Amino acid sequence: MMRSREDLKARYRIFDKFAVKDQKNYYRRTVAENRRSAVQVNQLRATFALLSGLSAALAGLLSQIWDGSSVGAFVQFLAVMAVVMPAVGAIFNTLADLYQWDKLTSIYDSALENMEAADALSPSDKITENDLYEARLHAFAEGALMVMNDETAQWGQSIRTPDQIEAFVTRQAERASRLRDDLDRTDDSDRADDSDGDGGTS
Amino acid sequence: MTNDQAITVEQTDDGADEQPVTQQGGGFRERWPMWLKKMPQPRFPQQPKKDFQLLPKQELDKLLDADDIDPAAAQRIRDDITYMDYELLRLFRERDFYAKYHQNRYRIYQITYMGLAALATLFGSFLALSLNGDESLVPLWAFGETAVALLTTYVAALSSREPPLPLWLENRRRAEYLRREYFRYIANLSPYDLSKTPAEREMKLSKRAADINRGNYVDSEENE
Repeated sequence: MMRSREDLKARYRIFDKFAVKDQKNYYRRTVAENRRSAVQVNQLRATFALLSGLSAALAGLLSQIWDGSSVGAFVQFLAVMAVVMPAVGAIFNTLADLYQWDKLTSIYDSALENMEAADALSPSDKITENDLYEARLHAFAEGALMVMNDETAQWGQSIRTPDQIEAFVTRQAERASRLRDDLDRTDDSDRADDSDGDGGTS
Repeated sequence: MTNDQAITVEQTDDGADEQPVTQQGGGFRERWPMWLKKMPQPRFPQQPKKDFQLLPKQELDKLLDADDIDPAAAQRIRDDITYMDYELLRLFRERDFYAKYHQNRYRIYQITYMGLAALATLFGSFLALSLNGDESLVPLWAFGETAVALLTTYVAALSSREPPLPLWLENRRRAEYLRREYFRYIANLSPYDLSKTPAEREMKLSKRAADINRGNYVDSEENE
């Protein structure tokens, strides 16, 4: 079905604004947001690692140079902090693995560059031949859709459950299972003891 | 030839500060640090936004009512948009909503595991400290470790029904296909440009949208 030049021009405007420009805008914002998130979480991670080391070092120092009774409570507090801080820091480590901000930044950065390349194929109003204008419009739009398709495929491949979470869940499931087995064994031996006792009294 | 020659400066502006068109919209957790904005929502909406449009009406009208746009061409595009609202956009809204819904679920579970892992580390460390100090607390920390193991198993059992990760990825994949199909139809790309009549073009869209929605990409861009 052949389209008029006026029709093609209107369709180009819509596609350019709502597909290409909007998508470029999305990539730009996502890259900026991911970078900011990565920086913030990295700062938190480093801060907790520093506090953890400082707490342990300070607790060691104070317990060596002062009499235990005067700073005892403070040293205990520092010892607790030296335990708590790495655990909190580990949350931020896993969070960065879960969200994969750095990896997504590189995917969207590259998609933005490719979208700019697709955008460069946009048809000019100065093209007088209708067929050529339509061919340029199709090349431009197909290129932009291809970039979106590739970006979605790469994004899909990058989403993985962090290994440390999978390992943790497996460990805890084994622990719970062992606990159930222990309880079953205790029940069995109790029943055996009971039946021995009954046999003796009857 | 460049974009600048084709359309005016105002139209070529990428609008880098504009909020991209999404169902969530702007203003969400506005004053929060960026990484916290990305955290899952405990209360997620139960329904997709029924009035969501990929082409916001106000901006669309501004563009189509421009002096250099032929009113007949503008009307044909409006007809296309009206037709797609039921045949495609309705499916896109659902897929996009369920992708976000399962993404939210997935992240809630993962962050719960992270919290439990931190607790397990803490209880383990305190248990080790107590063995060298106040041994009366040892049973308490051991109980804490056991409770974490049981809670983790409980959460894992909850998440095993309708596992959120594959549902998130599959719904997102279909939603993005549908979005691209929407723009394929608007730009009248292949296979729509080959239709002989408007009715044939519409029927082609309905079939392709329904196929994509059920995860059948045989006749979609993947194989063309």
